[in-house]
Amino acid sequence: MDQWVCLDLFWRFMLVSLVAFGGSQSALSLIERMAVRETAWVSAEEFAAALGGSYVSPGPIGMMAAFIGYRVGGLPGTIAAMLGMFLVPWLIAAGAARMLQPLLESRWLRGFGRGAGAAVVGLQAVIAFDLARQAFTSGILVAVALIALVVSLMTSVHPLLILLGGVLVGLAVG
Amino acid sequence: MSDFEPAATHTPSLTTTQIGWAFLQVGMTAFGGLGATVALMHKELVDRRRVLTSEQMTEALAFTKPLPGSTVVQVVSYLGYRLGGWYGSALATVAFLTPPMVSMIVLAHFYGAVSHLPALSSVVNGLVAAVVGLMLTTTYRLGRTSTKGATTLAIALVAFAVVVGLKINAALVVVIAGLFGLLTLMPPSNSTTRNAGGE
Repeated sequence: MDQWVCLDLFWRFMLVSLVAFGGSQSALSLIERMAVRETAWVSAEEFAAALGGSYVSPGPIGMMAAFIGYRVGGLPGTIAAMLGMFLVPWLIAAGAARMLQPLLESRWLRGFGRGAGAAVVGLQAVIAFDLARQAFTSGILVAVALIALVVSLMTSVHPLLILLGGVLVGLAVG
Repeated sequence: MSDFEPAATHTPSLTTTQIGWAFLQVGMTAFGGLGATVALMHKELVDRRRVLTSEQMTEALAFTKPLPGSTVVQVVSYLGYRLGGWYGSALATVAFLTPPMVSMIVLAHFYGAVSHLPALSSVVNGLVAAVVGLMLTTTYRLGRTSTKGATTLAIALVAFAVVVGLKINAALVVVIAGLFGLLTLMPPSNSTTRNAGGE
């Protein structure tokens, strides 16, 4: 491990972050190609573990960068990969918030926001639908989702407790 | 709807420490991806602390979705900017990313030891099922503020249909819906309210 590896981690993850339109999920295949096939930073098994880890850890799938960075270059590697993955998207998002702030009262942007906001609602439903397709492997898991829906809709139970409940049921049924 | 009442019900914005602490908490509990995390932030920042509105959550999602990068992190960055400018945004983003980073480092460190635990897939299955329920609730809550008329409801349904059915890129759909909104949902020029979410 040396500083060139860190630079390489930063640089390559930065390139990936720039083409991750619509979220880090869309960059998954690119990360796989980069980290497994092009650089051999991690093995295919490690890559799968990193993906699994990103599901059971909080945060987005892009957190795989931390796992891969750590396997390649320890703590400095983690920092380098994280900076690569999240620095430019942060600049873009905060910059967008800054640029839009004075414009939020403009009729044009409000029209755009109304249409885009409505589409976002549909897309939230798409994510739920896609997850349901992969997760509903048994009737019990469908019941978990329905109970989670009713509890989160009707009560003010903390979302984390609902997730924990799901995990416990998942463990119980295997 | 109460979500649209003017900012009178809002407490003044958060202090630096509160921004950091709030997003550190969200980062510690942000399991289950974008939908579940948005549900968490809605609960923490809209329902409980009342420093943001439901409308601002949708706005953050709508404007960061088409941008490159992890959307959930960018929603945090965007909301952080709303709460405390560049500094608030940087702080919120770092605070949000720290707990998952620690978690991933621990997993990477002990990778050899835990990689073959069979319980892992059971945990993920139960987690994802619960996430589906949470996400439907968030969809409903966001929908209540963002799809109040026939046009916006139609946009939401069409967006769902084309992404599921035709596999069209989600970011592209948001941009097209925005442009369509620009043509059909633009408020009249004499309008002074910021409250409407539909027609």
